[in-house]
Amino acid sequence: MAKRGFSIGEALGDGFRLVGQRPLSVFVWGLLMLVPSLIPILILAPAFINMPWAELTAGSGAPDSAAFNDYVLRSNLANLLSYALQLLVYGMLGAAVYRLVLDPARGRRRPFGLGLGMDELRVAVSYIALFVAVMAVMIALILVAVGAGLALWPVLSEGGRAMGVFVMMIASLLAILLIYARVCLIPPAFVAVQDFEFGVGWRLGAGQTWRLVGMTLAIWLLVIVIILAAYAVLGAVGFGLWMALGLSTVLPESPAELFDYVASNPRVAWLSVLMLPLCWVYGMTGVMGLAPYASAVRQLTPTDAIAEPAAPDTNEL
Amino acid sequence: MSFSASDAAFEGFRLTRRSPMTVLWWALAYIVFFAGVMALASGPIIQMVSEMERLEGMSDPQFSDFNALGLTYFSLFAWIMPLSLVFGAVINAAVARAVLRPAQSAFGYMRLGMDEVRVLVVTLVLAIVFGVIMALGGTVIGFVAGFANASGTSGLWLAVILGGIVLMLLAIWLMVRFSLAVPIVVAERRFAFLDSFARTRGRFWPILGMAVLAAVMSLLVGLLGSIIAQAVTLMTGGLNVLSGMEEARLDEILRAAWPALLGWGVINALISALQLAVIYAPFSAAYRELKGLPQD
Repeated sequence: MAKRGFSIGEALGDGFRLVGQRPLSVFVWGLLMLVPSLIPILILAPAFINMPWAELTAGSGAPDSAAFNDYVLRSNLANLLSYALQLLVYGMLGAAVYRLVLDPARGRRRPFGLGLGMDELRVAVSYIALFVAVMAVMIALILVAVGAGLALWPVLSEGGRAMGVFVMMIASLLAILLIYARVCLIPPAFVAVQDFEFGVGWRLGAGQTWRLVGMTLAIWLLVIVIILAAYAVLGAVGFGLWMALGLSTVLPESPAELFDYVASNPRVAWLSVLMLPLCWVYGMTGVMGLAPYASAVRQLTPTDAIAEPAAPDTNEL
Repeated sequence: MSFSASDAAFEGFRLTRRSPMTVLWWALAYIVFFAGVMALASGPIIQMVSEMERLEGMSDPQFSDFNALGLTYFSLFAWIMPLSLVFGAVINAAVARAVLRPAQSAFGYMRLGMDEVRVLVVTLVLAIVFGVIMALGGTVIGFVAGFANASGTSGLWLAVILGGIVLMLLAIWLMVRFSLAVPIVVAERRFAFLDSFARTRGRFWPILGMAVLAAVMSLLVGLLGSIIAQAVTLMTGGLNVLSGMEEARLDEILRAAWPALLGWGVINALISALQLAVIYAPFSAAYRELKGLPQD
């Protein structure tokens, strides 16, 4: 395999290109990203409403144990379901974005580029494996930092200790970034080669570590800017809408008050229209966090192995 | 011969699809084993719980007060441990047999013969070897830590932590190198203590990758199983019905909580059986591929 570099600009550009070519899919992906948070709320809501809020807020004796047991059982189920849905959704989203960047032909003929098959399983499995591996390395790094701290503490001056802690924090952060950069191509490489081959993504990242660190930092910065800008705009629109609807400026302070407030102000439901642009923004941040890595895999792989991006789609579905 | 780590990692799912009854047999074995252990151990466990409650109530318990608790614990452990080892050998041999000799499917591939004796002896010996190596490494690290503490040589703490990390990496390396022992014992019908070392030489990374994939799959099976178990718990009220029954007799407990206990037991046995297939079958598949044996 001939080794060549990859362009960070092209990788980020592939993310924006996908957003521009598939705006409807981006919205659906954003909507999908909310599912892991929404379904558990639906499970918890009945138990949440039945909680003895009056007793709890008044602090008048032990709360009703049956309502609490129901809440605890539902909350356990909601937590587990949330984990499973996160895996499912991020597996589906990752596979969809990776496929469309790596080989758009594989992404077409699927509704919004989404599917439920081996690609999705590969992405979910790679995320779990990398999460566990990065966590293990982080724990090891923390232990080494503690060991080094214990070794250097007695020989350093007060100023030297502060500097030592600072240097250690920077070194740990850099080490985590370097490790992440070395493994970040594994999930898209799984989809590219359609196999669970950890070695492919690892080898593709060899010699590209600093460039991948730079790209990761650029992605984080970009996502932060997008989210801040979106929150600023949507916050301003939301405030304007709130005032235009003539809603009270006295906000509810407890869940019971919140229910009363919503029941007595049905116009508050109009604020939910803000979820539509918010979903699109979430979808966009999802794409920007995933597409550049798939682009890097495509750029680093010989052109005869993976197709170049095709012409813009006219039909998203 | 070479082998595909990703292909072997899915052997547990292939086994489940090829012979779903096998998983039911293993689940049944789990239920019988745990029900048997619980029936036999319920007396000593209740005794231990009341002993612990008595100790909790004491303001200044002496070492001698713990004697009764320790005796009950060790007498329980003394006969549960061998039973667990035999059960483990039967189940481990069954998984290997299911992959390596798929035609011998009676009783979910479970037997109680020389294969199981060999698996028991080999796994026990390897576990002891592993334990001794870890204990030696741990002792050296503990000695350095003790010296660092006593002498105030703070620089040695870094060596202690690095030593601990090296010991953990050594543990992973040993587990990978020992991982084909059971399939070799079952396939070759002999005591094979160190053959796994030879068979895995130069294949550490593919086998580790396969083990990671199998572990993640097992985690996913566990997660999905837990969701089902939790939903059943929500429907039956869960084991909360047991609260306040600390003083009740076993038959009273069973009468009050049998739907929850049954649901909990069956689901957990099924999940354990599925996880068993998913996590252990890949190693037998890896051995089969490395040895160049036919799939049937």
